[in-house]
Amino acid sequence: MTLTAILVVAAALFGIGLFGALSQKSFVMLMMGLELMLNGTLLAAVGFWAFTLEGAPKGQLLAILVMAVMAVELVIGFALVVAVYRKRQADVVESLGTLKQ
Amino acid sequence: MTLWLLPLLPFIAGITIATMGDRSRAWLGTLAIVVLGATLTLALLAAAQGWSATLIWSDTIRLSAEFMPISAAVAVMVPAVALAVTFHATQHEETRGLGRLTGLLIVFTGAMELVVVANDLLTLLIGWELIGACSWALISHKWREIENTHSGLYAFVMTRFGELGLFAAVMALFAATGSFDYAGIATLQGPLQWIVAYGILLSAASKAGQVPFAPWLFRAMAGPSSVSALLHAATLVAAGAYILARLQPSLTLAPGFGATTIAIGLATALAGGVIGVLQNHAKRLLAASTSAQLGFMFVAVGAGYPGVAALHLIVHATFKAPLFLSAGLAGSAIGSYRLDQMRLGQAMPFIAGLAALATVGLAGLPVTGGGWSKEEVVKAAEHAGFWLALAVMIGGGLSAAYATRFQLLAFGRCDEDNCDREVSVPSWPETLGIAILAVMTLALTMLWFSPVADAAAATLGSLLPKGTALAFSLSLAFVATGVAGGVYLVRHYPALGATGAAAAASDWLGLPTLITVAVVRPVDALARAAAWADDHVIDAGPRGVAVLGRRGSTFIAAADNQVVDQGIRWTAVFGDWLARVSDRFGEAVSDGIPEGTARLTGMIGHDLRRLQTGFSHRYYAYIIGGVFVVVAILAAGA
Amino acid sequence: MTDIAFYALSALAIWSGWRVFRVDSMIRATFALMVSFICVGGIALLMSADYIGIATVFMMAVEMMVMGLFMVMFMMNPAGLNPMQMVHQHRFSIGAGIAAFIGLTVAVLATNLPNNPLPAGRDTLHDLGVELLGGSMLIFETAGVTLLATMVGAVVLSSRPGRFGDSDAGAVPPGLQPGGQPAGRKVEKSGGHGGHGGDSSYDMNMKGAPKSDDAPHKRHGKMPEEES
Repeated sequence: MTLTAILVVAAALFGIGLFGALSQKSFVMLMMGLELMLNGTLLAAVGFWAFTLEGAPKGQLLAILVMAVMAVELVIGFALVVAVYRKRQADVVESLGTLKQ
Repeated sequence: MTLWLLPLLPFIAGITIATMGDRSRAWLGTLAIVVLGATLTLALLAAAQGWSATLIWSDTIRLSAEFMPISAAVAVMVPAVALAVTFHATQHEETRGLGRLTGLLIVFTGAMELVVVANDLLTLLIGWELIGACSWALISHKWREIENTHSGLYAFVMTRFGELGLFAAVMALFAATGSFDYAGIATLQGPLQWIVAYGILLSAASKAGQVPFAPWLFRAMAGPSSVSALLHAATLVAAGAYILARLQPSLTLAPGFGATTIAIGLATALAGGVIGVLQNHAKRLLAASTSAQLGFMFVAVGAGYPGVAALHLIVHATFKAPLFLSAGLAGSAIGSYRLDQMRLGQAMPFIAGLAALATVGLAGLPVTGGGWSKEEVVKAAEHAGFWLALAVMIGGGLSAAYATRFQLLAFGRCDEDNCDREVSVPSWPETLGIAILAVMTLALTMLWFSPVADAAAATLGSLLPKGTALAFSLSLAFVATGVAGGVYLVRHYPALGATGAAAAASDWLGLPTLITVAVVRPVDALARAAAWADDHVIDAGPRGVAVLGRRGSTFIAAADNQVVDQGIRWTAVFGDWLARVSDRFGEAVSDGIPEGTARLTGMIGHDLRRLQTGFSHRYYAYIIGGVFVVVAILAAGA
Repeated sequence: MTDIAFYALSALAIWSGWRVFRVDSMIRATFALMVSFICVGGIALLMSADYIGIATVFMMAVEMMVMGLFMVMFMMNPAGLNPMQMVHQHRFSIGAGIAAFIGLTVAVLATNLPNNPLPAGRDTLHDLGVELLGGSMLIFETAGVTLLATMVGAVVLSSRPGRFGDSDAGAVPPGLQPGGQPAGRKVEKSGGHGGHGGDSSYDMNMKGAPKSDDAPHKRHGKMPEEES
């Protein structure tokens, strides 16, 4: 369990999450991809705290912040999904094309 | 008074008359008489009072003129004969160019006087050259016929060749004595004396028409008969004999001089005599006789009796001139000089009589002055050697033969085919000149009288040779034989010398041909070779430069045409091509670039619009791509 | 011991993360994501980040429930009874994912990471509590306020009465003239008629076959030039 290993795992999670975020049509799956990316980021932050900061408590604040961000993103995201569905009956990303020129 | 007047008066007068143009015969005749009469008077005065003159030309050159006894006599004779002949010329010669003829004859008289009165070699040379120039001008008088100018040139070149001797003598004398005086000649020694003596002999022989220079006298017969009478009988040719007589005391000091002079004179006399017997042309017969008589004078000089030579000179002049003038009349009467066609005795009886008076002198008959002087020559030759005297007698016999032949053929009785010709009788002015000369000849008959002869000799300041009666009678016998022979020839061979071997031999026994082959042709070839060398060798340089320059300029012109102009042409072609290309391609490019860019930009813009899909996942992908790029840039920068 | 646990947990996390996007059933996808998070929380616990680990587990459990609810609400095939692959720009996404992973890994491997490990026996929880309610109180409070705002926003966004009427009634703004056309942009027909109206992007093929994502272009018919 070296920092390198943790970071590699975090990178893998991030990559999978990026894949998912880019390729999924459904809003919910898209959100899941985003969640995975944040997951990776969380892991990386915790890893950095654990191996480079000698346990300074401020290091954990980043992880806490990431968690907060995850929560906010999830909430707002789903609220938006609901609103969008109410307006346009859209449940896939490709239904929203009004920005098209 | 200065003696220079004697030559100068006729000289200037003659030039004036020559440039005045053709006037009437009477006017010119009067002028001639006046001028030459004045000259004669001057000569008499100068002789009587012993004038002399000098001219200081520079520090080293001093011209002088003086009268010696011989020169006095000749100086008087020249204008006297010239007067009669010039008057005859103004009356007889054709009017075209008569002014020039008269003037030149008078100029010639002045030049001859200069030769006679000269007291140093330089003055002599000046006069010598002048008489040569006058001879050329007068022989070529009728210059419209090209043959006359050729003859004049022939005569001039041949006598000029002889004058080289005189030039050499002048230079040698100056080198030896530092001046040109005659007196210095006697003081010469060794090679210079030899050069002076033989140089003067050479020029005298050429001037006098001696062998081998004789052919020029024949060519000189192309001139008018007055010219032949004055120049080529009485005076110019006599200048040769005169100068030898004048300088004989000094010249005879040179070794072999006398013998050489006698040899030349005898050869000429004998050859001239033979040719005179064979000749059919009236004037040429007389010319041959002139050479022969001058040969006699040379013999006299060589034998040591210059006075005899001078006397013979004077006498010869007085009988030869009227012979030439009458031959001229006869020739203009029948239109040619062929003796076998003449026989004008009954057509022109007076002229025939006057000519007869001269002919007997030429023949050397005893009662004439010519006969007397010829006998003196025999006596002089006898002093040199009996065989020489015998040769002179033979020469005298030959001269009697041809003189008889001349008189009988030219003025004899006409035969069947001649008598009924239309012949113009000469007018009395024409006859007058001959008459004067005939009177002079007659006057010289007095020389047969001893007191007259002695007085003449005393005047001349020389001795007369003493001869033997044997020689005298032998000489008369030869003369008689000659006369008989002449009569015989006329009776039986009247056309002797017209055709055949005689005609060929009569042209100086082939001497002209020999001269042509031996001298003229080699000199011509030499001149041609020199000209060729000059043209091809010496001029090769400048011609080469010129050719090179021309080739260079041609080359440069060609190069200019080909290279420079080609360059210009190519530039023009290139410019044309460029214009055409620019027109097609350049327009396309220069229009295409903005238009293409615009179109490209439009296409890009059109395609970029497609990016705006309106889909958030697309935008998301673009964002990821952008993040990658930024990270890459940052990583590269790190 | 911890290494083995770490390796197992990380392998599980990665595998379950991958399975999120491979399973047909949405609920299973949700649970797979939850498993991934729980593993990550476990790894955090292994690194003595107790609070974060436990909080992650709590949070993720609840989040996944919510997500499951929404999955059932909005997805067509929540149970995954019919295998469907609803992906677009599939290959690009795979490329992007792999590129991100490789790039990050290279960066990690190339960097000289500092090594200041956590001293053993440290009471991290206590320290964190002291820190949170001490020096970093502002951060904490700000995060709290942010969460509050989020809640308010969510409520606003998803409430039924819209601005111009009920939100599920398709309220449109009034016209510029009374009785005229509604102001604002004309709504296109895209995305109407239900989730699959005219949307040919649903790929009926076996999952794994990539589908091109040119649906919006095709929907508008061919370009005039292309018609022969």
